[in-house]
Amino acid sequence: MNSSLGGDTEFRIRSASLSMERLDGEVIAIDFSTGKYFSFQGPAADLMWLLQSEVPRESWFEVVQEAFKSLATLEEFTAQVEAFISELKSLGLVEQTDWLTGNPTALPEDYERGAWESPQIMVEDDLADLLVIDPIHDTGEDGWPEIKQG
Amino acid sequence: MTSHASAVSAHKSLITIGSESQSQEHQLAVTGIQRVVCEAHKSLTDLLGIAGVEIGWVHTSNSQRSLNFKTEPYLATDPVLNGPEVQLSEIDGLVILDIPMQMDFPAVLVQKAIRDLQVFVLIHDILPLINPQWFPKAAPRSFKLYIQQVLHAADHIIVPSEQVKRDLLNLGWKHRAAITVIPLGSIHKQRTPLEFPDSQVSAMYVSTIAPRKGHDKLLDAFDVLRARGCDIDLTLFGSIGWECEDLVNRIRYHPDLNGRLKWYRNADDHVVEMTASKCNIGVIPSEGEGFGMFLEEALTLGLKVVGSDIPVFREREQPNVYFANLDGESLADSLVIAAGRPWEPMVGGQVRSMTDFSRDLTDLITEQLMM
Repeated sequence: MNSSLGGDTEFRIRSASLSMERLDGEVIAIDFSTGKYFSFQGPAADLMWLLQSEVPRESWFEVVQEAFKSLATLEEFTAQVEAFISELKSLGLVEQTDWLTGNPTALPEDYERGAWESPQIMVEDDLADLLVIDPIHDTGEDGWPEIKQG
Repeated sequence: MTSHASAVSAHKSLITIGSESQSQEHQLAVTGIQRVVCEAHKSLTDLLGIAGVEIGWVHTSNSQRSLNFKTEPYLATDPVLNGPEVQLSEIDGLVILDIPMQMDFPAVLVQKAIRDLQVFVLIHDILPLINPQWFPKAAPRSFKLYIQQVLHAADHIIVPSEQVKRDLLNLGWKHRAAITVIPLGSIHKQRTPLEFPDSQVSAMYVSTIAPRKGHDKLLDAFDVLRARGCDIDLTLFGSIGWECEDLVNRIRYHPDLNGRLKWYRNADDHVVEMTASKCNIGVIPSEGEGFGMFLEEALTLGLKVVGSDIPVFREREQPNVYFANLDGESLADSLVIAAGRPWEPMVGGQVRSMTDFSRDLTDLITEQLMM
């Protein structure tokens, strides 16, 4: 299916001071300049993968359609992608670009996909809050979840 | 003095290394990682000092100093924690030897952006990422965030085994650092064992009680040998970890507990060494490890070793080491076979030590800082 999506404007991941990695269908992006981190699960992770791979948006619907058991209509999908990119833009995670060099290709097969769902971004304001306790090694005498005192 | 270390000594009058200490100084008890850090600090202080390199403790984040470590007799001997503080803004190299989740990575990156700060990171394993089922529910996510940041900041990644290197590379995450394998080692001096009857199995295992550590299989093997009428005793050393309630209950209510089965939750090195002198086999039945220090420790304590047949242990095939499939019957058979074989004499230095680890790490640090 040759579909068009998103008009003329293309975006790519703003890579400066950003670390973005994927594991088991989740992408975590860490913005070292702000101390915030962002979690993208499932469909959102897949859109981030397409952005990171610099695949032109006109190919996205086709690529996603190949991977999911059911998908929204092109119009709904387009609206969801627009909203998603708009939020990424406001968070400073993407930047506009004149051209993209990535080729349409299959999404990573690192989790089981069902029906398409509207992509969501989870934002954590303070990375330090999550990293205060080491749940592997900071357990107390009676084991997890008791935390060592002191 | 190593060749690189002496070259640095002549090349530059004073280089300063900071060891991120926030996690280590908070500790009230010793597990494998704290032991690695403390032993590395002891040797690095000597080896780097000879080379004219100063090492001190550093906090990358603006956190308060903890003196918890002084209440634990072993950790209280750590020369870096007891030594001078150094400032992140002034050090030439940052060494991260444990898993300091409190690290301020943005602060480190700011320093790296304005000057040549080299970051050396020891990654013990990435098991929470590749086997999350072995860990508390919240652990893999925190660990993922930590590893992602570490890879972003590191100039030099040190791993204790080829297995961990493979695991890291298989992740496919971005990093610019070269990965250097520097195996850990034993803290004990080589001992010669007592003579035991071939039919006697006196085994011991030092490890936190946790799902991947194989205590359940070891207890299966113990029960199998008891049922066969074998002359066996087993001593477990290790505190309670996580996700192991059933296992802990199995030990607590085992009919042989405090008889042929013993469990010490907080024994010190002296008790471990005393027990080892009355054993003939160290067993390490873990399903997965980044290294598994008890293999080398048991060898230097004069024990034959029965380890699970996993690649990370196969990297360290050497005299007196036997491998077993991880089920009760196979493990029981291997324990009996190992008990019946003679102990092959080992000389001091034959088994890798933590001093060997620190020497190799010192070489890497001094080589890189001289460039």
